[in-house]
Amino acid sequence: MQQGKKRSAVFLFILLFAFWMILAADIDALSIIVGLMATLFVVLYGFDLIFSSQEASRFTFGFLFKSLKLMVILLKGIIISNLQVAKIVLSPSLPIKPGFRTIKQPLKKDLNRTFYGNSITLTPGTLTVKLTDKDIIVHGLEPEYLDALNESDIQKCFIDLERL
Amino acid sequence: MWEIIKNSIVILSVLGGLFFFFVGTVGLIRMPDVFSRMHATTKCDTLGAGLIFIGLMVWQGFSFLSLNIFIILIFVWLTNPTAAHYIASNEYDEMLASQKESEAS
Repeated sequence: MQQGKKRSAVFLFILLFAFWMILAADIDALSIIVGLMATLFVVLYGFDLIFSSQEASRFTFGFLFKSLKLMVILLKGIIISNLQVAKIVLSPSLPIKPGFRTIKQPLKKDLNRTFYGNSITLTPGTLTVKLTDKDIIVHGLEPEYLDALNESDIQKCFIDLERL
Repeated sequence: MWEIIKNSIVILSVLGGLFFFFVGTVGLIRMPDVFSRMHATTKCDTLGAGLIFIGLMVWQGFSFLSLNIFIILIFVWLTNPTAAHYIASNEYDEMLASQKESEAS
């Protein structure tokens, strides 16, 4: 466990440093030194938050393909949900019936759970409020949006990802 | 000809982004409670920022700077729903606590 964490920490260090170098635009001694120091600080500070490889799906070609499919569905969901929110906000009567609902979530791995919660927030009319081991508390603008969450395409995609 | 197409794509996407930011702000003011307000701001900010960044990327062309913009776009898309989730989660705890208090008294 500790060994896996160390390896993830090194990986995170490389990733963050690459991120810094892309954002820094010009490559000189000062930006490299500052970047190394800042990256080291972030990695040390967040060491107990780093997830090890057991908590994520393995990165294979199948994973890449399935996550691309997921991204397409998600992008469609984002556009639809934006148009719906725009319609609701701009209509004078404000037609909403907000409410909570607890729905089951089948995912085990932490990273997938995080992405699943974020995806629910971005799909039409729903907002993740609490995420626990067995279920999610979701807030919805209309009951029908909450009904659409069970057996949704996104949930199927995540179950597929979980199997890898 | 290419200039005209490029400029119109940029103008359309930035205008679309502005529209969604506007809707998000109006929603923030009009919605009745915290959770509904989070709906309006999260979703509209996500697509609004996305459209504006995409417009900037097209304007910049294929270069290092548009890679920067793309990375910032991914960062915004990851952090926006997370921030909304954090606010909503805290508000939910607060709500449960105040309900318990009113039941006890």
